[in-house]
Amino acid sequence: MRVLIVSPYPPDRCGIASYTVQVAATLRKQGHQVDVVSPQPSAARYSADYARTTRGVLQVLSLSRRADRTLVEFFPDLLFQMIQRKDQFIRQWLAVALWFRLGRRVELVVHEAPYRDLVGRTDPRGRIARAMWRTLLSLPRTTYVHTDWERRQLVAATGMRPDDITLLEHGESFLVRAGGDRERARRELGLSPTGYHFLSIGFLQPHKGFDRAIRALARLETDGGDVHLHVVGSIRVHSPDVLSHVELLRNLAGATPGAALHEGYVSDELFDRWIVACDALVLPYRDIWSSGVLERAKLYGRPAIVSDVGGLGDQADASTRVIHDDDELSAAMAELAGVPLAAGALGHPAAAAEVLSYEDAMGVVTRRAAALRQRYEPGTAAPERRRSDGTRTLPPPVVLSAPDGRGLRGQVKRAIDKLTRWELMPLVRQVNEIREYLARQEPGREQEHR
Amino acid sequence: MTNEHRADRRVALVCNRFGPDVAGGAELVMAELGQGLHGQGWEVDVITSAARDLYTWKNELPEGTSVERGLRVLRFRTVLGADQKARNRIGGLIGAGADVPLADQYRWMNAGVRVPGMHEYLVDHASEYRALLFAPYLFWTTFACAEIAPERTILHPCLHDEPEARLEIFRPMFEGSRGILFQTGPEQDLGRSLFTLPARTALVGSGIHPPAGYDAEGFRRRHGIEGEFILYAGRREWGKGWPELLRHLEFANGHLPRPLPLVTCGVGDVGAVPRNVRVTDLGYLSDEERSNAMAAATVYVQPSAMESFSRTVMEAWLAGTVVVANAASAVVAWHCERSGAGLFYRDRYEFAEALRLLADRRETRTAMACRGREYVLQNYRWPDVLGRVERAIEEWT
Repeated sequence: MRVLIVSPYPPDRCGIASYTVQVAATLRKQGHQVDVVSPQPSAARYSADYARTTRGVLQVLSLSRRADRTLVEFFPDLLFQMIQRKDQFIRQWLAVALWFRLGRRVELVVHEAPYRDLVGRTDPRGRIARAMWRTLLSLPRTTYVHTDWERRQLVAATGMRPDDITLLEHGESFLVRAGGDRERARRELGLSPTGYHFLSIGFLQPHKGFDRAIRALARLETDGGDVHLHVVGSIRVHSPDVLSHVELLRNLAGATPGAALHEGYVSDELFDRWIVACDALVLPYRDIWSSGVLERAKLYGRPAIVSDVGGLGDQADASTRVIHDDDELSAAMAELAGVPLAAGALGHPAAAAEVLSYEDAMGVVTRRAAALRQRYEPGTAAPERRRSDGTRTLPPPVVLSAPDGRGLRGQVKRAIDKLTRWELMPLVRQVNEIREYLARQEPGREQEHR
Repeated sequence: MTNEHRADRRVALVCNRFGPDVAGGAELVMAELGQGLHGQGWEVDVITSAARDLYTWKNELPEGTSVERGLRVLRFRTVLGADQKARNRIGGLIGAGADVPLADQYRWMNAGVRVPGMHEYLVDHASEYRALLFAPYLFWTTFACAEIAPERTILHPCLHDEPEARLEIFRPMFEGSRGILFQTGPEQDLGRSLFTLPARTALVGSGIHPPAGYDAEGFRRRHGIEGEFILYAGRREWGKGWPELLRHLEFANGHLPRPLPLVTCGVGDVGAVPRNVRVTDLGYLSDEERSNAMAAATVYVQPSAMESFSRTVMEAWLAGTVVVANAASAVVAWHCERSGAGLFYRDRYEFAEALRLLADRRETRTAMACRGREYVLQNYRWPDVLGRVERAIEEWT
């Protein structure tokens, strides 16, 4: 069977690209001919600008017509990136709908959807938006999500019938990337062979909640024993909130016995080697749809502690402990490591080491407010601060206009302008090119899956 | 991927171009490594593109599998990005040292030449090799494919001190590979200063085959070249310091008692030549004829500031010819200082004076050249280099 996959693809380093490589390899192993079409040039055989242009969407339709099956690894930016004008959106929507309708056996794997923007919208614009998304997501032959939580969200947000949404095992296509046993993995990573090792791994971002894991470790009564927490990952986006969060992690790890922050690039193989080396994963996320890390933990038979956010509760298996607050997190870690909780542990040096910067303080306020909002208005989000497209903060383009003025004075000015313009024009062009370049810088896209 | 299909002595060399008439230092190293490892009993696959020319990237060589001098060669089709304007614009900013956002770094890399079939092959077959050797670092073939199986990826980066080396997109490749082979100490130092390198790195050098003999007179006769001349062999392009060499020589020839003609071989446009500089372009020469040219030259010049090893400098020394090199290349300056066989310059004035000294003092020139030959024979013979590479593969994978 000839399968077309529509998705970001390496060397793009997003989680969905990494996921697609594994899906494509699995399908090829099953004997299918697999082609990938990515939104930008990549290691995929095809690329088409379907994220921004109807022409790109129609190119994908043409490829889809030549395939037997079309898999779309969907998140909103995949097909509606940087589209802000209403007429643009409608054109793009129509093209996508045409593709979903006429493409060969189109199957949609929904990784993210605009749940929060749609839930509870009863105003006319909201109703139209819900109807448009419902129609679009119902057009493919099958629409998949990874967890039941996501299915419920999608139903609430769009009004789709639950029966029209199929659950797809998240780790179905995941491949084992690290060989060897725990002992060897620990030796290679320089970890003590006998201790109990917790692991929090992934890009270092505030919503991952790895700081919660360190604080929870500080509450364990280890008596200087052999219980460790390794926070492993790198910075994906160098934004102020992420940088201050990483600084916080450094401070916490430095002040908490047994905690270590391993900053740096983590290859896929190294990622899995850490999982093999650990005894349990700690994933106290504050916000997430679903977790590829949890799937990889299951792949290697490692238990995990996860917070009850997004679809994690649905992803959990018998070996997964789902926690609802920091007390449960500490208790779960203590139970797994076989140590008691320390009395009065909140006064531990780890907490004292934390000096919040302004950004940290704002981050805490934002995160706590988000948690509170979820409790009282589930599925809603704070009004989004509109992202600048760059042009708003930049001065207007330089335009050379003819000097005004009447009489001899004006004539002299215009004559000088004519004589010198050829010298100025290259400079003006360069300034405008730099301005255009800055305006086109795109905000980095973040994906949670790995 | 699992290790169960891994063949104990099967390696893949992954490079952007490969073939008997493909020019380029890193490409030559890969060809030599392939032959050498094959000679040591390794099963070697070369995974490369169907392109021959670095500038056009046209698919001139047949796609598919062939056997060339005992090596199984798999060639895949190149695809050139459509948006060259954007690539050039971003490339200009990178070259100027601008802080280019990550998304644009990716766009710049992906807008160049890509080899999707190679990526797909490696995704499906990487586990069948004990090790995958990639070179050089700057090309898409290394950038995109080295991440597929980092646990068996050995990088032979040929790293230069250039703005591109500071791009964030290269960090995963340098920091996540199983091991890295460096050719020189300064290259290794540069790698350490830019990245958090993996624990497994080795200084393996690069190898040179001493020719059976040199025919300097025959070379002069065949090409109608008389008297003293300076030689440059390599790509004639901005990145290799060619325009600066012409400018420096224009200046030097205005000050030397006798203007020195410049003989050059390799690829790339000669471009505009100053009036007092005589340039003889011999085009692409065979290895043997290039060696003869080296032996016939009075001085070999290395104007490039971005060298990771500089094979041509080794070839010149081996041929008994002294070297004048751009001090901006830490690697070549390191070779010159260690060997005592080359003068380096920081500007046109030092360039002119280096030429003057070597032109005037034949004995000095000869003594330096002898030291150069000794230096190469002691440090960079292929059997020694191969031994170090083999040890690295065996210990690391």
